[in-house]
Amino acid sequence: MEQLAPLGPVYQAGTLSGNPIATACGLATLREIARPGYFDALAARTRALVAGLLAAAEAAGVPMRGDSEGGMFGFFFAAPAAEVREVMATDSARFNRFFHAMLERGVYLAPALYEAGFVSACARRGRDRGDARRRPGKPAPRRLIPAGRRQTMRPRSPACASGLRRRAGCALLSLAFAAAGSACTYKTQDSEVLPWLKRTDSSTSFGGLGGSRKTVYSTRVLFFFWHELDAWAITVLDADTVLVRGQHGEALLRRGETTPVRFRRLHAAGNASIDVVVAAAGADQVLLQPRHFFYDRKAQPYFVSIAARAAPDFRSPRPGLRPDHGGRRPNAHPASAVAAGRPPNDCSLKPLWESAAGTALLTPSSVEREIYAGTSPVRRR
Amino acid sequence: MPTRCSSRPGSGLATFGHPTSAGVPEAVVQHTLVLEYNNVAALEEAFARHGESIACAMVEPIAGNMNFVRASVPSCSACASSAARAGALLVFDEVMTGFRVGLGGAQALYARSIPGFAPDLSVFGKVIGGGMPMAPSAASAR
Repeated sequence: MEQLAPLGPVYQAGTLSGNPIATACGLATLREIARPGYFDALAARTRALVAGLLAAAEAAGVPMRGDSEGGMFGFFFAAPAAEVREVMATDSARFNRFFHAMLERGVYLAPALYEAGFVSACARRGRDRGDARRRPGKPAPRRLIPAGRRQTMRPRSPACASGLRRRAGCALLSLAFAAAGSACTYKTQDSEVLPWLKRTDSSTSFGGLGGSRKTVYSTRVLFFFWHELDAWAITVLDADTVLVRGQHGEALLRRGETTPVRFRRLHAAGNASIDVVVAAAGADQVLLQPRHFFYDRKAQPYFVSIAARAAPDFRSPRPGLRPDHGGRRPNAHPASAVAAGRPPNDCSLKPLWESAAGTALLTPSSVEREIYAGTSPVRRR
Repeated sequence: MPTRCSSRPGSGLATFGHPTSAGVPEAVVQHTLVLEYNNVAALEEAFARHGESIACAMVEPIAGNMNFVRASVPSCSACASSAARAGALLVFDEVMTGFRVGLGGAQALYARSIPGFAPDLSVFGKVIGGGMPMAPSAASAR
């Protein structure tokens, strides 16, 4: 595959290559057919259809051979042990008569002897509803191949699809293409992220032709009361804390809370960069307890504060723990800090700052509270 | 140009008796060997004669274009072994069978009967697009 573009020299691309609608459709189909038992049920239906055809043929004294695998089937008017060569020389005139006779009875087979047939996953066994044409007292004819349009295997319509409500989408397999406009399904699925946090995926599908998908995260308030969060994604940091990503950026949410609070990135030297949201990617980048400490890609330490909480006194690390540059200024500090009269810091001294963080950040100060006061909690829906 | 060895008739062949469809240039046809389906002797003979110039053997594991005919296990096995011996690729045309006969396609069925069986390349279509036009090809990283 590495020979194919874009990795290799063989150009393989097209206007509709990887078309989003087609791929969404395909993905929905693959999800549907990957359900446990899907192919067992489909194969059983197909076998029942072929067995019915063969039994009807046998009852009528017509030589017929049929086979099926999964949802695919075929039949010939030939002796059961026919070789390929004989099959290809099968009775086409008889097939043509059969085709038209079936068509008159409302069953539209593929109009050529050499086409395989497919059974839709949405098809079901027809019921003998020929009562209207039957005279009273006369026994119902034994119909192995149901006659009449209403009795043929047909795609489920919404009216008969109440059992399908929870299906992601109706997989369209060949015959059932007509179901495209008829099967609209809605599905929600809850999955527990943490005992107090759940994820709800809902999808609407129009006959397997795609639809919309939505994911909602909720946090447990009381027993079975859940509060919906405005979050796009959740990263579990530990059993009691998750990192929430929403339209307001990253935020922390703890067990029992309904309102995530925003991160703020504060430079180690104390100049708060109020509007910068921490781009914490996962648990390994955020030190949670007892304070929040963050290193960015340049290994520069930032204290991460949490609004509405006692803010760490990041500006007054313990005396003696200030980095000593020995007259040098590695990693020159941002000009703002210098202008504010604060000493420049060597942010590469990670161990020093870690130890400083251990004690100096315990005391909240009113100054920081003011800084944090501007943070807006993630809005409620 | 390398030769393809194809034992896959299309509907055109089955319906009209042409080795290919009208419109396909002779130049293309002459690089293709068409063999009778499930004819192991013909397959082995083709590889014996043209083995070095055969690029790939293409087979539709369940030929849906001539109604419903399964490739026999011996013929699939012979396809794989002959292709491997000649340094050719075995291509499974699973456009019709893929995701219809089973989740793993027809190749999964044959892998049950033939230990270690796996085509080098597989092509899919139809079902994989859920009714929309889509056709992936698949191969192992090897």
